[in-house]
Amino acid sequence: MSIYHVNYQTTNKYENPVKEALIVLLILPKADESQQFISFSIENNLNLDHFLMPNMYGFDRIMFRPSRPFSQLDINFQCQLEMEDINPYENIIEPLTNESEIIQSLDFKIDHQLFLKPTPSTRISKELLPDVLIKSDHQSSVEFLQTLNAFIFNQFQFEDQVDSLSNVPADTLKNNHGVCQDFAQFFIAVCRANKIPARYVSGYLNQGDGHIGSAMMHAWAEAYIPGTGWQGYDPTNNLMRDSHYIKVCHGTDYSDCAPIKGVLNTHGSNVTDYKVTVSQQAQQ
Amino acid sequence: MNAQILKSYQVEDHLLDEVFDHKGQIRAPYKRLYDYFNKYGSDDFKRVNEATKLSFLLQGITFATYAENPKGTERIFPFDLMPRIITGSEWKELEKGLIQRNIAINLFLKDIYNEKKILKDKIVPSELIFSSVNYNKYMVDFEPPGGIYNHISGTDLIKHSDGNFYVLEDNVRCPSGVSYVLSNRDALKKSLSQLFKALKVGTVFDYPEALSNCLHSVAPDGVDEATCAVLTPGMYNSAYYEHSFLAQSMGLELVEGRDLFVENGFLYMKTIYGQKKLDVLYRRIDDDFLDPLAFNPDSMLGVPGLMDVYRQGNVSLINAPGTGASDDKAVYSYIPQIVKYYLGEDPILQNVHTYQCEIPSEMDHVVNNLEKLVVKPVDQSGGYGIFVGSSASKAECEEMKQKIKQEPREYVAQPIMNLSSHSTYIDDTSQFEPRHVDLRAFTLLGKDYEYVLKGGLTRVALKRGSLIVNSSQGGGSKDTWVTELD
Repeated sequence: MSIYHVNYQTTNKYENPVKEALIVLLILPKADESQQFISFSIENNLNLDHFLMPNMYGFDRIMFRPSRPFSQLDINFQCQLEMEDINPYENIIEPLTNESEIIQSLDFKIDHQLFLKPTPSTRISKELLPDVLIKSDHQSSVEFLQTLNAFIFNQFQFEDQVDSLSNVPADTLKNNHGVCQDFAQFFIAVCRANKIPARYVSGYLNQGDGHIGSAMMHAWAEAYIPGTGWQGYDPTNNLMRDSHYIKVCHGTDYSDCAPIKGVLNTHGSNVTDYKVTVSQQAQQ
Repeated sequence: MNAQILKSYQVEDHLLDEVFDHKGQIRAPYKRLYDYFNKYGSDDFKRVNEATKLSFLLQGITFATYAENPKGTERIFPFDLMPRIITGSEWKELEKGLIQRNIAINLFLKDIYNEKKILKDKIVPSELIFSSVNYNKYMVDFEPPGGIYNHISGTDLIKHSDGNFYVLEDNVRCPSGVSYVLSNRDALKKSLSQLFKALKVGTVFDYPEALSNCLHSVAPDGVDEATCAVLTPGMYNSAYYEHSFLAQSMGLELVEGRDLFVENGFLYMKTIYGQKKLDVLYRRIDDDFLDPLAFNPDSMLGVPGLMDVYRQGNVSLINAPGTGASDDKAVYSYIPQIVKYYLGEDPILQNVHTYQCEIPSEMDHVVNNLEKLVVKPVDQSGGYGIFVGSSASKAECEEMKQKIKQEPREYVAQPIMNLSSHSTYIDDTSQFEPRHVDLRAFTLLGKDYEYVLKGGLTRVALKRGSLIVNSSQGGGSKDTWVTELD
């Protein structure tokens, strides 16, 4: 068991006063049996009340609706939580002998359509993929997903600055580099091209332990393995999700998981900055 | 004596004329109307017709077309004094068929967003649904208040030369046109009042009350006295007149996105007395513009967070988002099977045979018989993009073939149906001439509530020989009388 302290700070400056807005933060760790809150607090410079509203997947979002003009909004979110130890390898059970049959069945495709259907940022044509990223019928999902995870880690170079938010998987493959978000979306694209349901995960990574990441929210992927269920894969670190990964939410791709979104009544430019720190308290 | 205005009417041989039979004899339901009209000469008629039109303009009953003028200048909806008559027995069948069809569509929508049984049972191909741009992921695993998706349906029907009505298209997103039905009736009531009683014509003026009942029936759980409103994209929308008309006739607020906001899981309307919670929103804006947080982020028309309030069950949206997955023209051809699947009944209303271009054998038939077919883009409404094979040039046919081959999922084709014709007063000749007509019927479904507007909107293709009746394509309209007499 580990205790984590997460701090998410964001500063948003607007060229012209914002008359009305809805600011939505998707940064609250998901509460479940493996991660539990000890405490959390949300503060802002405008003394606005916040309210919580779940998104379509049931993940709580923090919302602010400033109704008086403002030019700067600073939000400081802190939480303390307790993570159970997760040993991902424990979860993986023996691959089913009829796995391919299940994956190819109509019922499976219908039940998982949401996470099988490529989106613009998780689409890649099979023709572009090297042979090793084409799943063969006698390969189990587990084997294939491990190969995919290692491929991304070994072939692509990690960058810690986001240069653009819209690297499509084909670009990531061509350029051989990207940020965690690009790697997660590439991972998902390859899964979907191979008929494996996969989803985008946004959360916090404890980097203190030598993990690769940046001072931002981390992104990884979950793939659905028949018989086992959803399993987390982090291609940026070539790891499976363990207790260093604090999950906030999942969705079809980044667009479902953006940590901050706002609909503003203003004109002119704005600058958004944010910083994340995750620290682990002494082991008990 | 004045020339009798209906005397020189020419019936076209290959067509079904609803007023005259092939021998040029007046059909029974129109007998009284015919006698009445023939008492007048063309000059009298012209005068009454002009007066009626003027009253439309003065009342502001107008619409704007995008194709003609992108700036959205408004026009009056062309209208003539000669009503279309549907007999009581004919109507009874239509009404039963409309309710049956729309209930089946509702069950279909509930299914494809939840259990997906019809797809697993391979009645409807799952690819067809999941590849549709109108399949809305925000509706997955969610059931709207009252379990109703298509509260308001506009079903487009034609009367074929065999004398039967066929469904041409289902419209279950934001079907428009109902305000013209009421305005047309209003105008004719003034001009032809004596005939209404004689023919025992069913009323259409109960529509606003019926719609209001329908809206209230699907209020969120726990709301006793629902506050409803009509959401319009604004005065530049082609159907703005209708939005304001409906709001006014139901006694509801007409609001725009900027009048609304979301807080604490509920939807509120800004009023001069402060904020007021809204429970039911009859929205007349497209799905994509409803909520910039969920859909098109550039939309200035919607309300940020609306879809979340909706999924919380705290507001009812009329119609539900995502209904477009059931009324696209590719799904249309499966409606008879859909009726059978959910209701175990044979469909009362017939479909026009439809070829799915995405099925290779059907595509072959379509590209080889283009001159006998009407090709429609799956995803367009308002009559835009319709290709009529018989009146296309060789080059246009060739171009169409290429388009179909490139994106077969995007097109369906139907045999050219002979829409019935109806005597229509033509300004240029001051005469009655045959023009093609269709019928848009309006069905309401609420929680334990069903209603069909008696008559609906008869749309007229004003260009001689044209088969396209949509108002956005320069069509006109007629009042539609459902008579109790046969």
